[in-house]
Amino acid sequence: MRTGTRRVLLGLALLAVLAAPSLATELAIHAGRILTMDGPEIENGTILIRDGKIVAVGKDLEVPPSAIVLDMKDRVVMPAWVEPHTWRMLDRSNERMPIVPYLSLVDAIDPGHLAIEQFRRDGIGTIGAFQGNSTQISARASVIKPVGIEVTRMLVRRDAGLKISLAPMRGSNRMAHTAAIRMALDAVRPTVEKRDELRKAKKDLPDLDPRTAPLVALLEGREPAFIMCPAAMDVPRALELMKTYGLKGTLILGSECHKAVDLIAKAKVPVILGPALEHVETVDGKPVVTEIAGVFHRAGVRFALSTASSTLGMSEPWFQVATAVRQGVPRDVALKAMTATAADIIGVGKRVGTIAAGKAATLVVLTGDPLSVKTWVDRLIVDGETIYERSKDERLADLLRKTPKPAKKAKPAPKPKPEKKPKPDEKPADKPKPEKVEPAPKPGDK
Amino acid sequence: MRVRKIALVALAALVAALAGEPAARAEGKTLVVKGDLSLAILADRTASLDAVGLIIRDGRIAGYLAAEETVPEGAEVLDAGDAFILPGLIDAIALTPDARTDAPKPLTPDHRALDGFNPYADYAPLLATGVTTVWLSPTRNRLLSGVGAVVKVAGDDRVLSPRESLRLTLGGEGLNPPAVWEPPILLKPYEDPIVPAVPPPPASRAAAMAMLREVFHGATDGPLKDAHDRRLRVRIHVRSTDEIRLALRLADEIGIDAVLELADAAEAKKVLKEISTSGLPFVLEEGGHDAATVLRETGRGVLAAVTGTRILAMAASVASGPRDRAALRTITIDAARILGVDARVGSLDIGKDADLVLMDGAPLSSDASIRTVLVNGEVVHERKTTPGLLAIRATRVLRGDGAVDEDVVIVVKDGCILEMGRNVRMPPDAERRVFCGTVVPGFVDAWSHAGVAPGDLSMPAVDAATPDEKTLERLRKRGVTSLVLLPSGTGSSAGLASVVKTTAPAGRHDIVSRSAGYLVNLTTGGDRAAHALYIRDLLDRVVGYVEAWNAYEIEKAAGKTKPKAPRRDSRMEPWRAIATGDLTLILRAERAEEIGDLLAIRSRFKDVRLALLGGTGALTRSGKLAGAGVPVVLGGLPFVDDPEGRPANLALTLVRNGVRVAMGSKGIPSGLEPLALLAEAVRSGVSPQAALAALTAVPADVFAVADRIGRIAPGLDADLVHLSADPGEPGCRVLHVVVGGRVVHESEDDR
Repeated sequence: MRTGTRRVLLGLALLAVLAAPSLATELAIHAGRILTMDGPEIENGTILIRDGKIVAVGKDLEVPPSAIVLDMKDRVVMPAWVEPHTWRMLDRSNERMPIVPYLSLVDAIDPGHLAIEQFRRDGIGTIGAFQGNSTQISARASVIKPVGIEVTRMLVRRDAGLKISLAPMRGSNRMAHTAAIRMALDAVRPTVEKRDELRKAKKDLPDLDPRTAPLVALLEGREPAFIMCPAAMDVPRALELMKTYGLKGTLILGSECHKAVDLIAKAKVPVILGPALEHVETVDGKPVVTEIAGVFHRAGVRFALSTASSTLGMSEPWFQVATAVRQGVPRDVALKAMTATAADIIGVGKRVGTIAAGKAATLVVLTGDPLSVKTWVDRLIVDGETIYERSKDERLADLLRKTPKPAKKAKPAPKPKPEKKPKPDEKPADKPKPEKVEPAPKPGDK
Repeated sequence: MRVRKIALVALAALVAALAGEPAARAEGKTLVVKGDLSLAILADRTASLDAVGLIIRDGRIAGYLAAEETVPEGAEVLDAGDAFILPGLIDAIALTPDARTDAPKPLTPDHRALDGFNPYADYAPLLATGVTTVWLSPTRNRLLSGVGAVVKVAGDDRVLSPRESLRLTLGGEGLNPPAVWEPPILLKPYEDPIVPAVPPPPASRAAAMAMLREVFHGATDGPLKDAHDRRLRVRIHVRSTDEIRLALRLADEIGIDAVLELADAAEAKKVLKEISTSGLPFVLEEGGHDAATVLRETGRGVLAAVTGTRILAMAASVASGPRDRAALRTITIDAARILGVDARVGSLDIGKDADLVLMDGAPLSSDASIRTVLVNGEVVHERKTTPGLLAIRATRVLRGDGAVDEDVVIVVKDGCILEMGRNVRMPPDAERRVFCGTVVPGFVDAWSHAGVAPGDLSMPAVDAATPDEKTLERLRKRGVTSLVLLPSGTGSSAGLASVVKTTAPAGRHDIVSRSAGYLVNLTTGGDRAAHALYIRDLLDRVVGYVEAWNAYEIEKAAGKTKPKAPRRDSRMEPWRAIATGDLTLILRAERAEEIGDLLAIRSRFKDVRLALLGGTGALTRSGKLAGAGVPVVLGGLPFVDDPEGRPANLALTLVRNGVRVAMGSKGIPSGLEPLALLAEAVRSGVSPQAALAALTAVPADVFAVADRIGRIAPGLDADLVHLSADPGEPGCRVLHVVVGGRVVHESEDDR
């Protein structure tokens, strides 16, 4: 009895504590430079954060006395990177069954995966989790943040879309592969049509079979499609599928797809490029290199960039962005390709990708310009909470301890040689590379 | 106020009109393709085209250019010369995409060949065979493998028909799918888990037929339903006679629009009557005699080349001749009809896509060659020619020494004739010419002073001559390809003669021979006898000098004693070659007496090679000249007065007596007019062969350049003249002149 009353009282007290407005966390970050991705850069500005959301950003903001102040005056703050397409943190990248839209990747994400730790170290705050390319219609993708030890806490968007891969699976050819995809989509068409009739007649919609629900959502345009095209020849098929089935979504492109850039530009479909941003082809016995990001930018295609799981350099967002800049993509477009644009493409653009009032406080604090080889990720803040600090990165410290020459600054992942990378204050596009051959810009290009 | 408004409106209209006009003009590029349209394939079998070119606008054939019409203003012109213009060829099967990993199921009507098509691939090898449109087949080795498509292999918009013909394979291949059948994985959400998703493949024909009937009749939608309702053709692949009969029965029973795909022409021939009465169109995968019979008897078939075969070679194998239109139709318009794309491709009718094949030579002849391929009015393939390689197909060749060839191919490499003959093939990488008239060796003016200044005696004539491009061009146009330049001096020893080409690249003579003969005038006037005697004495001394040196050389070679060398005489040295017969001694002699002196020299010095230049008085000496074997170089028209004062034809007399005669212009400034000279000679009774030899082979022999010019033979320079008729025939004119393998003159009205 006594214990019971005590329990009730304790519970009430706990409730009171949780509901108390005075306990709302307020944070103010004074930063040397703020790259908002939503307008001009702010020098010596402040970001005000309440309950994990950005309240205001600008110069000379009034900081409430209750706020915790982070002094980052020698630091650069920008939205945390967005990796739009990866399967690095899944237990395994592919499923043997070819058509599995009724599965969800939530069940496959391993919160303890080292890849998640590496995302934090690289300053990636939002991740599009997709199944691998060896599929016909994949499990449902999710958007996650690299936070916590329990997958439900990591979710930013549970059902983020379905991947349709046009890469023929082992033992199959493109005809059989595509026919199977069409068959699966055709199978739910009657359901979609029936629902349409009911909707028009303003009748209640019956519950959907959970097995077909994702495909119905796809055909009704409620859930986006991500169509993987390994080669240029798959692009016309992808566009044809989108048109035939009224799919909305994005193309994920292999490096050869730059040959179909005109078709993509005409269709006005956004794309995810990478990890390889150069396409090498042997023409008349000589290697011809095409700089893909440059080609897509000049054609006016909206694109996001993605990173590789293991290849040095290409595994890091800043390197991909810097490569795009070297290929002639303007700096802001290239930076957005791994922040704002990437967030838009995976359907979380309203939440992350820029520093603006109302957006989640998912930020990365850098020691310098994001495209400089000397820059470190100093701190990753997700929803106003610091989830990574370089000073507390034990593995990094361990690695640095084992380094024979105690370098002034070193990074866990080996960096590519500095000359590969443009310096931030230079215009990398101005450095012509005569050995690179690119398709001539089309008339009408800027 | 109102006025201003009106003015504004007017101004706006003007601006709009001005802005609109250039846009309309820039809308389409106009291209005119000129060539031989006598084999033009048109949708109407009986129609023919009387035009010299096609007008192409926006990638389509917009009209025809008649012979008298001028090219529309601003149009680009692709002049293919005498090449035949054909529509782009159509292969009723050319590609089976992605066949490596075929599905293990026997029935996959939902598979689409287009899904395996790579529009970004390079189809250059196929384009090089003239094929611009193909039927993409779904994979071949299954009972119902899918729906094909018709695509172009070049151009921007490559898909002509995304769904064309459901493929059905009867017979062995269809019953034995290439992969091992695997039971379906049980966790299949869209299929009933109790009934296997993939039925086991039928192993017998009975089962296959039952299955086909069931799927066609039972289909509610998709390709099978479309085929059943005759909205989609069914391509039935058959080989043996029983399979053909089976296919005919199936088509009749189910009521489908069937197209037979006949793998074996001999088998098809056995059931010709059934195929004929069925009325079904068919595709033959094999050429040859049997195929020709089947095509001729039914008139409804087309050809399809399976991988590795050239569709043109197949058409040639069923053709009745190199210009057989019916055979050409089987790989163009007829194929387009069977594939349902005849509204776009297959013929040269107005409105069709400008997919063209420009062919040198009759399209179905063995040495026809594809020069250019266009798709949508854009050049997508051009034959690569090896520089310096020229192939000439000549209807008639007079070799210059009397020999005549009919219908030969002359292959020229790097300026020389590589080979010639009836069975010689035109190399595919050679520049091609077809000469339908008479081809003769380039004419040689055996007596020219063109550009020769009255010069130093000791120098060869060529060194005293400056080429005058205008004169040379005039000569080239007449077919004169070489000149014997004689020194113009009138002294007794005039100097060295040279032989040059009438091409003078970079202002310098193209020299054939620097020292082709030594000219000595016996016509210097004064004391004729003393002069002749002087020459004789000189030759005597030279002979003695040469003998002394010969004796020295022999002794030295024997090596017994150390002989004393004769004194080197600088005046004798130039004559040594004459004395040994290495250099021709050209004696200018006109009067009969002078010719007598020449004959005396001839009989005294057997080793000396002599030629008579001039010889107007040779009429009475022709027998002796023939006996002595002295050739005569005549200048100008060969008419002289005989001793009785009557006009006589000197050339005729000499030739009749067996004297070898060369003819030259005698250095007149207008130069040699070979055709006029030939006509005159022939009209006066000289045989055409002898007359031609007088302008070709004989001068080459006389001036010791027969290893380079004067005849048409392998190893010699490719100096050729293409005449409209045999030389001497009325109306004979020069059509082409080739010097050193290059066409240097082309008659403008040659068509």
